[in-house]
Amino acid sequence: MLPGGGGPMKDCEYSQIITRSSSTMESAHTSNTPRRKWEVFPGRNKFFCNGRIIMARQTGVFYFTLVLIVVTSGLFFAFDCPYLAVHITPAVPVIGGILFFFVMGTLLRTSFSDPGVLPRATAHEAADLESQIDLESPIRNAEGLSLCLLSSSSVTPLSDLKRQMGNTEGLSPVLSLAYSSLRPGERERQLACIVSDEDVEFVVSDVANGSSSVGYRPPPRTKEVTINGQSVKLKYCFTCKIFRPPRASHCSLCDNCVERFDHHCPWVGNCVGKRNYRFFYMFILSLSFLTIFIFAFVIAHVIHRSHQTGFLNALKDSPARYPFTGLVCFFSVWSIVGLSGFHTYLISSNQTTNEDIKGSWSTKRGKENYNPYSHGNIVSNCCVALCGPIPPSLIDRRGFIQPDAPQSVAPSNGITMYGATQSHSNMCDQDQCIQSTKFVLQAAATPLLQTDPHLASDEPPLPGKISLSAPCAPLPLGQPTPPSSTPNLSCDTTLSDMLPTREEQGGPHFLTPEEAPSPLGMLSSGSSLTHSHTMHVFNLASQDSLHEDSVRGLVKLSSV
Amino acid sequence: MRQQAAIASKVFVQRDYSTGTTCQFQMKFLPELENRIDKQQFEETVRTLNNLYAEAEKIGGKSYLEGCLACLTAYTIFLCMETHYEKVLKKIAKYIQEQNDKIYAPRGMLITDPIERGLRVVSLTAARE
Repeated sequence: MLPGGGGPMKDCEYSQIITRSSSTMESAHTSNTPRRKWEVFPGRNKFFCNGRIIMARQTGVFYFTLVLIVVTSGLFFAFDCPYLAVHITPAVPVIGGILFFFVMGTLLRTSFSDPGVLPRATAHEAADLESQIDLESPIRNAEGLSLCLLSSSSVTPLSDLKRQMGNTEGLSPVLSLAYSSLRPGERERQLACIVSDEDVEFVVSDVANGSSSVGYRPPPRTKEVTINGQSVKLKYCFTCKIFRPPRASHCSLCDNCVERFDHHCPWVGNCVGKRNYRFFYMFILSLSFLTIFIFAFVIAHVIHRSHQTGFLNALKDSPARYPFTGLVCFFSVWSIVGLSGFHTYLISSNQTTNEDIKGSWSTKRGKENYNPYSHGNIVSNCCVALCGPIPPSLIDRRGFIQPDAPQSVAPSNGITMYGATQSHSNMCDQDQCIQSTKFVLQAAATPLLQTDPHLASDEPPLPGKISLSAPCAPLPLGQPTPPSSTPNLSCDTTLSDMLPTREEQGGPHFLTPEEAPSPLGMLSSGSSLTHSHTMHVFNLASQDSLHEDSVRGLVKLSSV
Repeated sequence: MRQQAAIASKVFVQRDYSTGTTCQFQMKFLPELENRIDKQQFEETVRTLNNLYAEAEKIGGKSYLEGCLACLTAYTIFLCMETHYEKVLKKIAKYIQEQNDKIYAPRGMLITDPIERGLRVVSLTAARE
């Protein structure tokens, strides 16, 4: 920054900044590559082959499963089949081959297909539901309370809290965070924890007053429905902003609501739900046949050979692999066969693993308790589960994002209004809101503007140029992609590259990439000279922390 | 303000789960629709949609045949032909288009196909101003 005759240079610098930002905006604005919906999918999934394949984020165990199956079968085909084909029957490798391909096919089909993910509600729907709920339900008693833990500057919903901790299952890290995030005055209060289903709900009970206090968020919402004479409770999902259909459940690992949620299987690297349950069942069934087959014929091979050459000589041929194959098959037989048996029972009674574990339809809960979804007899239940129609995927991974289509809400921090700002058409409507909060932000950001007073003399070119960024057209830049993230997504690029960045920003920080450019643009179009070099200041200083602070201030002031 | 007005102009018909997990929508005539459309018309539309979805999810001989055939061909048959469900979804899309053109658009409303909303709601938008 040359203070003296850097007039033209300063213009260059300023124009560089502007052209950089405006060219970025222009390129985003005029970019002809429409994005596909999987690229902005809010759940924690990985996508491959341009959205054709969907998996959970943790796929390590899936690769292990693949390796185990391929290696064991490979050893069998390489060492046992030649002998068995000659001495027993050539049908052995043929049947083995068919079983192997069936196992691989069903495994890949289970792992790669959409289990029945429910797309999240759009902003309008969520608002409509919220208004209906506010009209209907009174505050419930302590049993059903949930609490948004207040951190020092923002409201953090439980789901965000858990995600920030990176541990969706452990309870104590969340509790310790809860303690530390409470204001000192509140720490005297007891933290009691009620675990229910998928959501961990906290109740903060005031020891002094002996009463329970409700935090920012109202209590969990449920709806009662009668299905085939049985009363079923529908729960409201705070992440997806919907009332979950019966038998649906929210998978905390994938962060999606899944229809007819059975369980999340790390071995296949995906949830098992309505759309891929039959493939999962066929996978474990065929795998149990395959392991029994391999186990039996390896033993048959050893026995046959030991008839001719003696037992120890028979083992000498390839000694290392017998323990390996034997162990793998032995454990697999007991676990996989057991699992197949369990799922056969579930299918015949038309229950999900989730329901069975919770004992939802068990007669222990009540004499009148029965499964309302069962079709009556075992045969029809099996037929429906295995041969019934497969509904199409609801998430439309490979569809293109329509520029005026409503986007789903972000996991809420209670400020749904900003969740809707992702839609281009809504951006223009919210220009008014942004304009009005511009003044708020100016007030909040004023102390930051005192760094370069000598620049005030060179302002005239600036406002005109910065005003280019003012209209709402550049706002689509604020698609939830942190600017650092590459727009060219190849086959193997995963959504997980984008998601951690978004998540780490947390509730209010989620707004940072979208909100920060627009208030700055708005600010700079103001006539005040002190504000017209805000852009400059912001670009000079560390952008991220300033963005965070300004957005946080904006959020706080607007939420009052 | 303008955003709240935008919200008020959308009416959502929620799912009806009283028959189980099959896709059915509530026939309840919402108060926001009172001045805009005829109650009979609305119920007729929702009833037809419900019937169409029931047809898509129907479990019977034809669906079993399709399921078994698909299993035998290792689901490669779906590269050539559509599932029954997808065929009915196309029928539903055509029906909604037709209803929009004939009945709802003249009254200034628009029905959104529920499949675009993940089969959660039937959304009626008042296309005004």
